[in-house]
Amino acid sequence: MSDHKPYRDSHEPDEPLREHVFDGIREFDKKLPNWWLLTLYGTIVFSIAYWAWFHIYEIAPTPEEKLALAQERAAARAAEERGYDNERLWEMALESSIVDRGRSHYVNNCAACHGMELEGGIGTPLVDADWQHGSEPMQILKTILDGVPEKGMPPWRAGLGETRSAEITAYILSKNPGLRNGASPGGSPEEETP
Amino acid sequence: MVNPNLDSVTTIRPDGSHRILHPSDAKGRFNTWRRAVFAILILIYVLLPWIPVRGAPAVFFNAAERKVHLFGHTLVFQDLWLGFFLITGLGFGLFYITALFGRVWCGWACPQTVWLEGVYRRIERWIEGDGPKRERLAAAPNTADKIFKRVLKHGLFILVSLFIAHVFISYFISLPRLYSMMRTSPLENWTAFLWVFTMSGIFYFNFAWFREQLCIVICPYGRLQSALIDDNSLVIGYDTARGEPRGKPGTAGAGDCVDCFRCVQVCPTGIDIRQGLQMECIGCSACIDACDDVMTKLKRPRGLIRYDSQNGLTGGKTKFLRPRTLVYTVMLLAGITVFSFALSSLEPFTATVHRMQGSPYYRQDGLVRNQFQMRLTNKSAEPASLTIEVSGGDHALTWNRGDGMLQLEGMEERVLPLFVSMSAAEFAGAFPLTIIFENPDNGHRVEKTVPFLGPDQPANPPTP
Repeated sequence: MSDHKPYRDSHEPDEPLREHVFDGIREFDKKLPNWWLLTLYGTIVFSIAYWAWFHIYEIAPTPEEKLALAQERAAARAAEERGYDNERLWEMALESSIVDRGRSHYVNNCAACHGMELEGGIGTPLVDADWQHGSEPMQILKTILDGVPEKGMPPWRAGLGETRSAEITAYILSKNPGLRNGASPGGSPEEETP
Repeated sequence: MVNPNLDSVTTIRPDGSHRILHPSDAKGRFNTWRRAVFAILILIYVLLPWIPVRGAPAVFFNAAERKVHLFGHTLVFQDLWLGFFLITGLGFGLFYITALFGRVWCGWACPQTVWLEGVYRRIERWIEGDGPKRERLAAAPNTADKIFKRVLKHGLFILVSLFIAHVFISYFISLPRLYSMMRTSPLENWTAFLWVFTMSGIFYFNFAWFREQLCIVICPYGRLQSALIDDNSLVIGYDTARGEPRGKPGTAGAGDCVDCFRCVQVCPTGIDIRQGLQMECIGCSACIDACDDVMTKLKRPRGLIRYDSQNGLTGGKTKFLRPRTLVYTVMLLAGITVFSFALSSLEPFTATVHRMQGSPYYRQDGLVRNQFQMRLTNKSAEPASLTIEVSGGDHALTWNRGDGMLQLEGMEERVLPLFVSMSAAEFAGAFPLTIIFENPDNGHRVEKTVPFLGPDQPANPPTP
């Protein structure tokens, strides 16, 4: 810099300096901005309040507890949903919203082999009296979920899951109202009627 | 009166309290240009969510569906890797601009500056008058006039803050949904309302009180300056050789600076640019306009304070071509090239083909059958029709999607089975099967190859 006065208001000579010196560079001991200190004190207050709220007085569940609770609820709901039986599947077959969903899954996934009208193709027809793997609702659901690998029917448990497979079962049942009276595997409808 | 020095931050008093600045208005060519740029940028910020490009807003971060729409491109979660190029690209762009032009971003295009100088300070100036008047008002006792002015000013500040918060959230929530939310009870969408009101509060605090503290203390880009600029970067500087020693007009031996302090009065961060380049300087050019105005009145040439490099200010020449800018240019170009290439390689739809669970092949009625599952995702907001073609070289194949046409709604994902069969008698070993998906409307094409398997035919070598 040249010899002119660079600025008119230099710091006071008695301004406090920090003790450390690095390569001849020294540091003023200035106050931090108050708003900055406020954020620091704010986080301290928050941490104490948080600690008291969650860990001393346990007013609200911690995130871990919330997660455990949600997982429990989800497991309970899944168990309830899995509780399919023949009766429940027949009830589903009468509910048009479920049947409509089942129809749309069927069209996307099953119709390629079993035909748009369940008339069969690569796969067996699903509207005749011949049910090679059982005609009870739960048997049909099991066939969808686990497949018949040796015949080319893939298992759909991983791809579709139980809910959608049950909806497809409901759709198939809705097209086969005659099964309600009890058709047996490959047999005539009368066999199991009491 | 602000009396800046190099050893302390003007806006932080020795006791740590915030010194509120009352910068005066600077009138001049840069100020006029800056106002025009602010108006254009504010228009862009506000309008981007309103301009539809290919069925989606020009820029829209769809929080509900975790999708990003960028000028007609739709990015879904699996395109997240592009963010790498976006972030590094923005970083390099900023480095490049900084190496060449210093903090031109801060002074001309940063939203903090755009909203503060373009809107809030204009409101303040309109209600309370220019710098010295505002300073007197701040020191005055609470009269009815002062309270009226303050209530009016802060009322308008809050309104603008609410407006900005709504503009901001319209980048994340679609406009029709935002509008319906605005007309229903806050309790129905309380998280969105909490967001908007928290953001409004932050904007109000920032633009009404915090202001330059964000640039001086919080913004990391400001702190990177010293590493990014060199003696050839364009900064705002004072021509010491020409200005010093300061003196009233007519004083013998005096330089051009008359020590009028206009440059200090107009500075929004409270520095004296004549003390040299400082970290508080956001390159706003107000001091240039202020000084040019004084110099014109004194019939002296403009540019005592000007955009120039440190070299230029000390009488040297500014070198634009230097290793730093060359390296940045190469890296920026490489980044832009890779990003454009990556963006253009994004498929408007994706397709995967997997073999179904179960046996690798089936024999039925003299045929060999392979079963696959196709997962098709339409990544554009518009419906797409696809043709599906299966090709296996010379092999005569049949497959279940004979018509081959498929309609996908905008953003739809569909999982479909694909069964390919051929005569078992003609099967002579595994061969690659190509499944071609094509959108006849735009010619976009995706090919997937999977092997067609069948019973071993040890007597016949596999066809190539």
